[in-house]
Amino acid sequence: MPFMPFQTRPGFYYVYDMNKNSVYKTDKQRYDSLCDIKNESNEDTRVLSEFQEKGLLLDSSIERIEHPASQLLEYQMKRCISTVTFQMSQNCNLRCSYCPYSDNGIYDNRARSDKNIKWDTVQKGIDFLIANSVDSDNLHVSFYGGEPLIVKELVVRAMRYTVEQISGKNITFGMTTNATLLDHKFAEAVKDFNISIMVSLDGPKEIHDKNRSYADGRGSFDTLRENIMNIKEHFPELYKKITYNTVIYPGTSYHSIFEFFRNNQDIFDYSKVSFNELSQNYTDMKISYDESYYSERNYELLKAYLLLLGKINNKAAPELKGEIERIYSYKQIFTPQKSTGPIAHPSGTCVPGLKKLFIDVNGNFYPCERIDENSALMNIGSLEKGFDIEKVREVLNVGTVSEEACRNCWAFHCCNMCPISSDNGKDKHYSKSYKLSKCNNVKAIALEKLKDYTMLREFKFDFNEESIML
Amino acid sequence: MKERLAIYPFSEEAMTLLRHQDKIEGYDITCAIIPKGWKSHFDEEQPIKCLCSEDNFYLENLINNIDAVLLCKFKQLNDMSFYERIISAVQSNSKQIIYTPELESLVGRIDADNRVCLKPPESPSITNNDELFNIDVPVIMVLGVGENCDKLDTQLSIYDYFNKKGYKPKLISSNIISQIMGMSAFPDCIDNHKYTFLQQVKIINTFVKNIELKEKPELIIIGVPGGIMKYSKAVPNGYGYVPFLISNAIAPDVAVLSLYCGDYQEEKIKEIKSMCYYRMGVMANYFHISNKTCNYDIETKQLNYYPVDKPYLIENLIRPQENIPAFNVLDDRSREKAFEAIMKELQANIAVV
Ligand code: SF4
Repeated sequence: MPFMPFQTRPGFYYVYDMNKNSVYKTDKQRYDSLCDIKNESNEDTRVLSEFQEKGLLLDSSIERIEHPASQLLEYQMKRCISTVTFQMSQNCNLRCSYCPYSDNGIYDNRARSDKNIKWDTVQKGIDFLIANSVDSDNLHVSFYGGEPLIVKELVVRAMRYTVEQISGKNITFGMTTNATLLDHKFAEAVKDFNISIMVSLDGPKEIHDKNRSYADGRGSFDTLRENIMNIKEHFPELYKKITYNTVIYPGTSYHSIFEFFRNNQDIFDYSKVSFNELSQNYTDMKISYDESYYSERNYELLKAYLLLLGKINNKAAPELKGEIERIYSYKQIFTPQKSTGPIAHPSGTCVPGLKKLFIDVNGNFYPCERIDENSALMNIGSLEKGFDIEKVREVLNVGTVSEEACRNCWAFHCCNMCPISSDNGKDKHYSKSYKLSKCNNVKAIALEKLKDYTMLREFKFDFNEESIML
Repeated sequence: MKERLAIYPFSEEAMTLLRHQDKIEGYDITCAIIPKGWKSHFDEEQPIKCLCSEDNFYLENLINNIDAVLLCKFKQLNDMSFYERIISAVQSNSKQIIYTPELESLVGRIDADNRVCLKPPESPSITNNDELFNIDVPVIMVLGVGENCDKLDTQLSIYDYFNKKGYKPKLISSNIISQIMGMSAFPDCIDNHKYTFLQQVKIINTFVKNIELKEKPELIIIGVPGGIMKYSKAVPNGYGYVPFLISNAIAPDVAVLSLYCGDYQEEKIKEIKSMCYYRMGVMANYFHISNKTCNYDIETKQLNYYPVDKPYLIENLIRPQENIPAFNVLDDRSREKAFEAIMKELQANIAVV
């Protein structure tokens, strides 16, 4: 049954209607009755009928699961690619404890090797982007690893080549790096390109060094800090475009990580940090965080809510930027609609390769850099052969493998199951049982979002992004 | 002897000019300059001989082979430095430059004698009387659901059809650039906030009436700028203001609505028709299905457009919907069928045609 009764606070009862992607306020008696129907603990459907007579909480109108981009997929793939991310190297100068390239037994999707990308592959990749992006006005070329700065000169050459080949389009570059090789010479060479650099920084020295160390065990924090300081001093414009990716390892003190960024604003700008838990994809290991982690994280989230509701001073906004952006995204998710069409697809998946085409050192194509390079399912083409459109179509239509469940799922419009989270890295096609094993978690996250969104609405928050300074 | 004209930058949007270049008065398009990294192959039946890459244009000094450059401004081009090189080349070689008003600040440095700005015509003066003039010749109105759905091509094709049938049509186009083809554009009141809505309606009505009286066309084709409705909350599309304004000023006898490429079911068409009718009082009975599709990119917060190829469009989207009636300007069969139906409708309704 595609509806979900829920409460935000004591005395506030609602029901969410998947067909209309809408939330209705209700009372306790109706809420209880709907919960009973949902749990199949009561046969009395009078309350449900009452809603249905008004055209609400109807059975799912979805007849077939198909992603809307499927029909014209090959045209879109021929003309609208906007980003390529190159795996510049499978090698890295660090051996981070949880990195897929570190052979640490957590993730099985990658193996570290000494292989670097060849110039010919980069050049063909950029040519491919240009040839397949005639209808994209904004092009982005990104460098990823292993550690991309192992082949610094190729990174610079690639940027130069890209701008030489294109005019009249907005070209940006990006790079994810551990920053240990982010030296003066490199900064000098790239300072005039429109490049954003994401630095992996896990927090204070003792935490960072524990996870991000060289092969000989030395920590990398001091080198990273020195390089960032140097860029700040000599290349202030480039410094402004540095952001941080902070991976929180289970068992680490979330509080001390936050405190670190709070106390080092002068160099590691808090508003530019994105905090991430370890990925649950491509691992058999159960990754779990303890209670103290969630209470600290929820405390930050609470502050974001209070800020949005005007209950605390908005001076605190920069450090809450990530949380606030997440909250604003709820509006997009829960935009009411007249009805759900007979052909639809659960939300959560983008067109593979269109916005984040990942090209590995061998010139193979994958939907994005988070994939399992060994997954036969996720290999969607190559520089040599171009896109394998049927493969792209299969990867895109991640909902079809669980068609029956998805058609009747209340979380259809707020599902965040994407190809990567649905791929076990082992099978040639999506595995239904693997995918469905993740649904409970997805629904729990969706329900939390739904509650938060509704509660903000209760407090008359209008989700008007311009109203708050980030 | 016609002057030799180069178009910069050349892209699919400028293809309409090439298809209808016989209408360009005093110029032959001899050079279509494609910037680096832009599309260089076009699915036209005849090969396009005048295509030239930006690199070749400068390397081979092709500026010497032309007399004028038509500078196009596409919506997505925000970096004005993109035009610097061509403007400098035009200036140092004393060539003529033809451009739209939004490029004025860049082109201003060129000698006034060598500059032609395709400005919208001035608004006619109006009386205080609120009453609108009747337009006494048939009017075909071409509207679009949004930008980039081939409205100009549709207008020009209708113009050609009636012209060939021996009528004397007049086109008031949605696109300012069509003035280079001798068509009219809408007066400057449309974007001028000093006028009230009532004044804008009156000006447009007077403007069309003046054309009717002065030029004595047998048919007026009106291309309506902008889209008839918002795309979404995030993309308001001008809230359909201009179409609302123009449809208040002029009541068309026939309305053609251009839609993005898609498989439109009967229900959807009904919905679009009633929206058009109740919002603008216009009964759209003919539907042009563009080869371009449009979708919203959440990340860039922009609309993206991309075309499908002609055989796919005709086979999968036009043929099954010809009874709507739907057509595409690039498809002879559906186009002729739709235009013939329009002509018959006008002949049945109005004695003048
Ligand atoms: S949560 Fe599971 S069943 Fe529901 S829409 Fe997502 S993938 Fe389908």
